Amino acid sequence: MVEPANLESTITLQCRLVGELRRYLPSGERGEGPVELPVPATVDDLLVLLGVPERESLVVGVNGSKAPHSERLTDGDEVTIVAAMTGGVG
Amino acid sequence: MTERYGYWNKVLHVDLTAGTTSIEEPGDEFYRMYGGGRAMSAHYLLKYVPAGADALGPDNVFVFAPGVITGAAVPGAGRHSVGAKSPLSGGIAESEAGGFWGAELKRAGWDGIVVHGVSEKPVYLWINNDEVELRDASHLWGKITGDVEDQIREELGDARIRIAQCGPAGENLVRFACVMNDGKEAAGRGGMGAVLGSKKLKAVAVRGTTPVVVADKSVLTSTAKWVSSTLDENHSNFSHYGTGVAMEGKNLDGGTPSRNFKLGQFDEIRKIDAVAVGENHRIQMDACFACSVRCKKVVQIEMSEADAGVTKKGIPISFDPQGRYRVDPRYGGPEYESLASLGGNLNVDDLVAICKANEMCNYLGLDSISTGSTIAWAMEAYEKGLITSEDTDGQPLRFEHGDDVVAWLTKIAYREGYGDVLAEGSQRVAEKIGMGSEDFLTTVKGVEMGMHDPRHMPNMRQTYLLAPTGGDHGSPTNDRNGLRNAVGICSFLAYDDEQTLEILKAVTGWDVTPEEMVTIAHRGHTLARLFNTRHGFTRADDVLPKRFQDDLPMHEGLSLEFQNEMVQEYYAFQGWDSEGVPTSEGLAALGIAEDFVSLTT
Repeated sequence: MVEPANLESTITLQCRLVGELRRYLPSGERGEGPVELPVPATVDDLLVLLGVPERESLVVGVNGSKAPHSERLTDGDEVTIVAAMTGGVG
Repeated sequence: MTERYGYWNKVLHVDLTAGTTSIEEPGDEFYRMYGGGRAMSAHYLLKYVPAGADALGPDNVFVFAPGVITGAAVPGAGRHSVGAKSPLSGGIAESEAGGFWGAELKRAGWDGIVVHGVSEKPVYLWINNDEVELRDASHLWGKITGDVEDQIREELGDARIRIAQCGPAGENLVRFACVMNDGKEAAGRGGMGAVLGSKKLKAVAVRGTTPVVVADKSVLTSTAKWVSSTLDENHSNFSHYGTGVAMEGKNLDGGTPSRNFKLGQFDEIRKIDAVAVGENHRIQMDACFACSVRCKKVVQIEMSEADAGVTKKGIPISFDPQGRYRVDPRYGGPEYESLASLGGNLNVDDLVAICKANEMCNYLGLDSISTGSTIAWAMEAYEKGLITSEDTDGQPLRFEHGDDVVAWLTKIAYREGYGDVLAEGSQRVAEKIGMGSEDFLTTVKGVEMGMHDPRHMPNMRQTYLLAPTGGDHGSPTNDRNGLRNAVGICSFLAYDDEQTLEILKAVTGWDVTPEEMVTIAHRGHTLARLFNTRHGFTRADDVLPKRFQDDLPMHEGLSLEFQNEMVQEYYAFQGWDSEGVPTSEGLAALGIAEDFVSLTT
């Protein structure tokens, strides 16, 4: 689990990182697991905390729907992080 | 003697009607002009295929076209292209494949093969370095691709022979039959397998033992080291999962081909993506020639738990819990296009059936994209009552039913029952049955579109509208992919333009500029456009099917006005006239032979 700076004002998210992105959630079973982070927190804050590169190119789902990186996260949100498909290269 | 690097100045011509072969030495300027690939194919097709030629008749020509980089010892150099007049579109067909066959042809001392005429009886071509022989293939006719490989390797006594062939689907002139290379690498698009079948050329078997001579090996060695040492940074998902790892992202984004491109999302996408393949059925990742990325999935599924066990490397082998299907690993595994066309777009979440369908496409010689999309169109027609159970002799055509998909593949490949109708491709069937079924086609220029929805992906709009090959997802219209196709290097490799230029220079020794690279791409595209002009295509053919004018829940439809603007911009960019016909001035600027000027405005 990624440790936040201040446990008293945090939210806990259920995160799932797809494919090779799972290595950015090292404690997560099969790329899935809880992540705590300070509030207020956006999708982009989560990506920064996890240290995922090229985060602007990623597709993020919050509770099953695509979310902009500016979306505010709330406690208990289920977050899926997956690479975008570029297409047209093969 | 001129020092040559990257090519041999030798193109093999095969006259199947006469049963003879000859050698052409095109000259250095030819290679610098075209590079290989689509540009080289288009050159020969323009030279030899007359207007009005029957794509399945003796006047069509089939071109095997590696590029100048193909076969050099650098990652990505395992690509080659095939070209002919398409029996599906009636225009140019060009399809690219990875693996080893193209590199083997180069290592045998050949830069390409141009096949003319039609043989009276089934034959295969055996190329053993500089020795070339047409051999009887009567005993191979009707066999599936794996059996043909085994037989040829056994009778020629060399297990390392590489084989390109048409499967039974090609023999039966299925209009979207593909060319299979070594059982698992498909040159899928445009019906090229049917062209081989029409010529009664069952296979081309190649053995080559001479490394391609390059100008500066050190650059290629350092490039290869860069690729292998930066896999995690540049090719991580590819090397661990292959294509299709991002299907869930496409789905979240509302761009999944679903229910014949109607919905944009498929709730069960996680059951059928490359991660699911990796976790459930994959036994290893395979590589193409000289490539450390190793992005090719290999799946194995046994009929029962008792048959499953582990591989020699101790990897668990999966089994079909329903005891229906065995999937043979010699036919590789499903790429993204197959997962989507045989799965998501049919709303099938049965991954075992999808893997089986992919295997069958590979051993029957069917293009998985056109096959899946023709079935998707037929399923919608069946749902609407435009195709009935009476038409299909009781075999259902139902979305969500993987077993239906598997059942139809054999019928299509062998033209059994209504499979004979579907073997013509969705557009011809829609034109035949009418009743509004044209409205839910997903074809461009008669060719079923790849599994990237242009409403969702802006970069695919120009591709589908303007690819001379129709619904081609390989982005032949952009300079990057156009160049890579011509010189024979994989589009998946994360080389930037500067690295591509370095590789091209290191292989050929040419003092090539970035501008010259772009010109090679434009030349190939313009030649292909000229071919289509000769064969009756006009501006009216540069349009998306009606379905794509409709909105998806998350993406707007593409209006005809929008499409027209994009088409006009591209014509201007290429220097073509307002009807999309290349001009004589444009050809002169590209240095294209005067022979073709009569086709311009």
